[in-house]
Amino acid sequence: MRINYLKSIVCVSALASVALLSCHGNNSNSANGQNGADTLTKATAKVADADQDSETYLLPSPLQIASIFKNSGLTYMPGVTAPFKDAAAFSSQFDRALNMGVYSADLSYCILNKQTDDAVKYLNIVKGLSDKLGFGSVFESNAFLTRFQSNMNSTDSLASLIAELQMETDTYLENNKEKYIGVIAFAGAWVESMNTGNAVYEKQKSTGVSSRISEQMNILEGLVKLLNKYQASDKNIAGLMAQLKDIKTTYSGFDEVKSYNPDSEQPISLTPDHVTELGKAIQTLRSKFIAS
Amino acid sequence: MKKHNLFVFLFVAMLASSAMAQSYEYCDTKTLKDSCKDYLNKPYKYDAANIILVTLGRKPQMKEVELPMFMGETYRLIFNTYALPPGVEIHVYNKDADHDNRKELFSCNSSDASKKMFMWDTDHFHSKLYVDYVIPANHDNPPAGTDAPLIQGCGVLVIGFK
Repeated sequence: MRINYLKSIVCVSALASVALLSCHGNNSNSANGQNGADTLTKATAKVADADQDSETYLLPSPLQIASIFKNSGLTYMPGVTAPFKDAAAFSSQFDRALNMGVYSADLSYCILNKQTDDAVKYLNIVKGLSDKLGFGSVFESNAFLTRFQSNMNSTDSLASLIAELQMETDTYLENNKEKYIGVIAFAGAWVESMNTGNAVYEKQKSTGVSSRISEQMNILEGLVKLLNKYQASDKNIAGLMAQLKDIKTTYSGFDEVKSYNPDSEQPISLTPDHVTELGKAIQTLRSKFIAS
Repeated sequence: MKKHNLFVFLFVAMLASSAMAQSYEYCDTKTLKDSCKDYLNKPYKYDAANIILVTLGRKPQMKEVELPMFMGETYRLIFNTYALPPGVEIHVYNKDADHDNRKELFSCNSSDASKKMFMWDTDHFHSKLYVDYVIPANHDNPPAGTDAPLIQGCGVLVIGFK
């Protein structure tokens, strides 16, 4: 009699265990929109060695930086973007990643300024570099080139497509433990965007653009921290980091930067001379990037 | 002997159900990020994303993520808490954890069984935002006598800009 009672408890416990497992399986499916055991196994492996991957600093997208400059009055200036090159011109993974960033920034600048012919050329270079870097599949799986061609008349649709491409690329790099490529590419994009901002500022002397240039310097510290984290991933990262630190040192030496209240919610207003000085330092670095 | 075996089986079954109930090792980042896309509709566009990986320990933990913001821009923050263990608090502040006088701008919690996606649009300019994940302690994690962590999970933050 007592044994039967215990057997009943065992059965109930076993059923409860199965029920709990089912509940969590459902939660997982509803959250992930995927099915079952494969997802669980794959995801478990990712978590097991992934804690070191949590970032403490987030970098914005090249599209957002281009959009910020555009909103501050930055107009299109012919000849300021990087010369068109075949992806095959870049021989190392580092140069490919760096210039993928440069061309991504130019792509965003052209799209937001309705320069669609140039935008298509830049998109093809970015696609070529993605192929060389090993993630050209991101373009193919989402038919980006076709969708880009069919939305040529809508700046907003093209910008949304570029944002989607950025999201897919970020996810690919994250899942394949290649986030360092994204950080190197961002360095290229940031320098190219700053170079464009400075070049147009020198022509227009727009105060809106000037304050945006100083605002962008906030990103540099985070970028250097991330490059430092991924230093072991590519031997060229140390050199890139040193060059970016030099720009930061130039900026930090300006009187208006030294006297800035860090609690202020207004960006630093740089003097025109200091914008020019900073612009020259960035231009020198950018020339090295695109010559590679 | 039979009675002893039944007790052992009962114990193992209960332990298994308890362990499975606490396991949150589902972290398919692509799918979790993709599920944020529904909240990233026009006029917002994807800007960046952050995955926070959580392993509950014997002490509470805090992980802080810094988000650069730009003047005059409006941002949407989308938190996907499906894969986080219960009890993880998410707070958004205008300053980092070293500041006493910082202001909380938004908060949510992974314990809410009915809501796992949270969205917040910035309504005022801040040069930076700080997202703090406050992760509770679990004194039974890992179980006594082992070093293996048991309860893990991840949180996804997707940022959109206008």
